[in-house]
Amino acid sequence: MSDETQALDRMMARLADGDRSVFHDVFRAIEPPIARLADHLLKNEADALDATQNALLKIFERAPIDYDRARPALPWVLAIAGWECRTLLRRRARNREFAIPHDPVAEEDTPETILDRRALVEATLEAIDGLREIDRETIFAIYEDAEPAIHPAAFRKRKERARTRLRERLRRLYGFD
Amino acid sequence: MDLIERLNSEFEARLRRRYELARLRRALLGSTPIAFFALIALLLHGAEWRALVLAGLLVALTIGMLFYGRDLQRAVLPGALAGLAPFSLAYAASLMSGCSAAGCSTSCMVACTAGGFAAGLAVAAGGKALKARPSFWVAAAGVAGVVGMMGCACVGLSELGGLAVGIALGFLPSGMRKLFASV
Repeated sequence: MSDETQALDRMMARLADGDRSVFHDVFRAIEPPIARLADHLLKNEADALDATQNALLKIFERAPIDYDRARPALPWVLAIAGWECRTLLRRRARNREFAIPHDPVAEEDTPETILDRRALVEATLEAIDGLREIDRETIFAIYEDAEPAIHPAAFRKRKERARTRLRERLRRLYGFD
Repeated sequence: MDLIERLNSEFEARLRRRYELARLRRALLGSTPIAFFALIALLLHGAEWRALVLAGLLVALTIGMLFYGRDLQRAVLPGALAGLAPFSLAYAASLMSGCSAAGCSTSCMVACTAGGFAAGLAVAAGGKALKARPSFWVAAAGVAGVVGMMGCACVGLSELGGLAVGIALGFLPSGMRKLFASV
């Protein structure tokens, strides 16, 4: 496990315990990976910023109640951020607020391909959401390339299981891998 | 300070408010069993003014400690459980000898002192098991003391001294050990 990951785990545990002195450091440590995840999933700067802010609000609100000190902090944080991205995508789909002009799209992309891509991201997030918490956190840890808090062999097994379950769920929900 | 920095610090302040509110909600929720206990204690011992003040103090202390967190938060449960010893012994004594605010018997004094002693030992054992810092010991003893007082206050203020001595005696073995270890 890297020093940064360990330091974040320790800081998050202290924050959950009521140590306000680490507040700023936790904010500085978790904001960049959340913003990266939101950017990647939403492909829209304004939406990514919204999702990042909402995720941060949720994380600091849930830290004293839900954070499990025995588990690594980064996957927990990213799972919440992923959930926020999914909520935003859903809301956007419901309100038909597809901000296509702001998307960094390739020239050959048609509106249909953009919508298809978004639908795919949303479907994947929906499927991830239905997984068990441990699988969700593992999927986001894979995405962020986060250092595992457990033995690498055990983490490999966990990754395999999480991927298999995600694939099964995608097949069951949408009929694709 | 540029605009981005200012926006960031404003957002951080918003995050901080959310965090503190979440802690407060958790503290209020976490203090519910203690408030319930205080209510039961009032029903058992009668809602005379001393018991009412102690019940209010206990609930406020619990909320404050849970909100603050760290050692104080961890001290609430061990302290409350330890305080049940003097509380229940005092209640048992008041059932047997009929001691009340109007007049107390020797058995109430003995029950409070013995219960306080047991509470002190329990807090000392808990603190040792958790390798706690002095703030934990003080906080747990405070909660245990107030819980115990809810039973002992009903039989007169003089009994509270017995409780304090009991708790102090309970701390004596580990205190002595620490003293000798440091010499």
